[in-house]
Amino acid sequence: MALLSFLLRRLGLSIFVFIGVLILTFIVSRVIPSNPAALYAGARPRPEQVAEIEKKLGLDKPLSEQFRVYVDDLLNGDLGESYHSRRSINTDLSIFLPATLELVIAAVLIALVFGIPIGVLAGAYPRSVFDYATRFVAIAGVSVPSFWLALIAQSIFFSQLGWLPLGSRISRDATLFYPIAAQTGFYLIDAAISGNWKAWLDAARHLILPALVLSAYPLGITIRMTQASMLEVLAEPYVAAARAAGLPRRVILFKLALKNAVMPALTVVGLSFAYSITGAFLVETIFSWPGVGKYVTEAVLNVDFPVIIAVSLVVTLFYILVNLLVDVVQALLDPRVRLV
Amino acid sequence: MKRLLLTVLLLALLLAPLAVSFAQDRNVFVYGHPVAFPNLDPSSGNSNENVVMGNVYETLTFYNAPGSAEILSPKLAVSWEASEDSLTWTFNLREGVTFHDGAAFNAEAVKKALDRTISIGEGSAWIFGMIESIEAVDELVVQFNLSYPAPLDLVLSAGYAAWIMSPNAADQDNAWFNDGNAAGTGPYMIASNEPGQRMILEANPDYWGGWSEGQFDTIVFDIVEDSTVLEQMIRSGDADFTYSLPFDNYGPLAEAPGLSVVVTPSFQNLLILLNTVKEPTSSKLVRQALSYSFPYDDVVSSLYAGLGTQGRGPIPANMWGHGAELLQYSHDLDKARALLAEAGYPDGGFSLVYTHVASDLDEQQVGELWRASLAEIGVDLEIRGLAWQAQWDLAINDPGSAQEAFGFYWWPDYITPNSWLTGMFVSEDEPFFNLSYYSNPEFDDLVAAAASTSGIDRAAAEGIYLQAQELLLDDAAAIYVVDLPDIHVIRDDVSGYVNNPGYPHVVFFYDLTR
Repeated sequence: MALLSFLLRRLGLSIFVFIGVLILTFIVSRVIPSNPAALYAGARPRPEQVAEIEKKLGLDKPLSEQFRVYVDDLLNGDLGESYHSRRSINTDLSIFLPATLELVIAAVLIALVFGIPIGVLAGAYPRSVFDYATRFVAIAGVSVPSFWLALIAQSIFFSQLGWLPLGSRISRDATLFYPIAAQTGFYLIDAAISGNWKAWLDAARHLILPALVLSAYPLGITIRMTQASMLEVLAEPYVAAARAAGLPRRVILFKLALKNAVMPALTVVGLSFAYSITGAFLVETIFSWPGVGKYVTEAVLNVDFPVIIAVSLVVTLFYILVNLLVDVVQALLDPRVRLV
Repeated sequence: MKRLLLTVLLLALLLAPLAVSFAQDRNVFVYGHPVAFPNLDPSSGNSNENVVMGNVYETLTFYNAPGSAEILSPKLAVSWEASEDSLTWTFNLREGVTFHDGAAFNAEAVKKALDRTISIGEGSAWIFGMIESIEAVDELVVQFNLSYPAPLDLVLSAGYAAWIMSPNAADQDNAWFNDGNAAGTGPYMIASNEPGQRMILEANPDYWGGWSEGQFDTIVFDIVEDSTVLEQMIRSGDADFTYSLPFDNYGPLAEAPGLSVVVTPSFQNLLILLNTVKEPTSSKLVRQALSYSFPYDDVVSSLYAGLGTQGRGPIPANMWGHGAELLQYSHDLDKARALLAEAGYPDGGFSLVYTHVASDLDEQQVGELWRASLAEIGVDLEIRGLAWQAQWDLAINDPGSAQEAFGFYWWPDYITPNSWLTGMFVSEDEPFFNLSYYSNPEFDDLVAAAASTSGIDRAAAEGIYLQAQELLLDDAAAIYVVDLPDIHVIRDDVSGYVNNPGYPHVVFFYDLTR
């Protein structure tokens, strides 16, 4: 019951954030000096075409009316139409969003699977060589720009070693000879469902490099946070008691201490998940990964406002949801966190 | 835990080099394409998707590559004729053609397809402005009634908006086409489309032209925005064709084994329109002086690696209506000084504003080279980079307080000198694209006369267009900076490739073999 009312309260607050972003992006898009109708009309439009399109898009109506229409469509789940391509943004996002999510989820999984154990061990052996090495890796992971890391990774694994592909989501030959039947839009899942293992392997190989590069930031954060809170937890009296009782070191570290140490790490990883969606934009561009990042980059270059607004809203939505999820998980894991 | 980590790491490293191999028994051609295809609707698309349209759909007439004996050749129409006043046009259609969806190609289909494009009225559909009505006279005879004389055979060869789609497709909306559906008569059909990433075309086995050994049965467009990657692809043989690489890279590429770099003049050029109503450029002498002050050779050699050519009048070389004998201004500062003195500005002493699209570095560099040259004759040039919309707004609001020099690219919607001459230089009540604000009744009359003659007597029309250009060049309404080159890189084991600037960057895959 407490959980439900907590959820509702948090949701209520989040709606204001969402509305704020909506109003801001909408107003910015209309205030900036550019003529959306001329954009829509394409290269070298005729004046009568521009006037016609203004009417068609409702751009001749007052701003408040335009906003009302937009919100109305939004409530019906319609994000509108791209001015540049005339494609429905809903359709486009249903293609590009899974691509980005596949990449981001893989990156965050890498960060968690490697980051937490490394952080635990670094916390367990402070001032050891391992500790200093992980410190270096963690700080490098957070501070090295992802585009630089991406280029280095490409030059090593593609140009030098020739182990992994340069970019894109799947190789040309796989699309030609082993096309993946689209269902969820996540290539690894779709290929697995249909038992198309050649395409699965191909897609996985394409995923490795961009996911590794994108995981650098959340990995660094996870390591640092886990390590810091491990240090704190290991100094607690109950750890000393457990040690005195003769519990094996592995059990103390990974069962007893980790459970208490993982909390702060979880919060930060949750936030870095949402952050990675925006961080993915650079990585996607370099790896020709056809995701939301590439989509919105193109939209910005074409001043395609409906797409820019829609992507802003979707990213906002992800921030809100992830935050909410982290709060709930935290509350469930730690009874001391009161649901207020 | 450590052991687990190690195992995972080892597994990942072992998996990595396992390249997946696929059976390869098809003749595949790969076009490394630098931009995505925004709008796959044959009625309204007027951008880079023409490279797809040109292979999936066909037009009634076809604009031949420069150097051919005739300007046009038959495509879906086998013959055509115009009435004496060029207001009524009759086209006889090709027999035995079917659309990809099985529908028969006939006069009704042509009417329905073009009516769709005209009624949607977007993109380049305005080129059909002269069409009053379309009648299916007979199964294979279609008649067009025009409201003013025009070269309809040329209009119908356009690389945008003139595509004929099947009657079933004509009933569909824009979303249907953009989902990757299509139904034309062309040699290829869209097999799959991953927006922003890749498109695959398969040969249409029932193509009316028939098929022979060596032609390609699968075409792949790989969308790659990064020109470094594109270059790597064409060098390694991962792509068979590409364009849009940095100008300086074509030299080394031409030397590379297995590659040919094909350089031909395009039908696109860069002009600087000079304000003819505002002091001091309202003086013809000043405009002539400015035309002599422009460093043509420097621009061509430093910006375009010597691959473009200086313009000679507005019409690009290799196009009908281009005059090889027309006046061409040269970089001659003494002449410029003399003309300025004659105009009453012996030491220059005025300043000009040149506007260009801010994101276009070529236009900016053109401005910088020009400024250096102008400084020598005492004229100051302010280079103002603006968003296209802002640049245009400044130009159309009030010519009296607008820029003196407007950097402008032009290309034709269908291949006629009229596109440049009417589009940019015929008098306009409200400025639209005539951003020199040039107004010369004699010129207007000549262009109108040529336009109405061009439907029935192309040679006579060409003569009148040349007369009109002579006036324009004497009045120095614009600086003709450069006729841009088309530069394409193709693997040299592919034969049959000819660049056709009438259809920019379109490769007609049907003509190729390997």
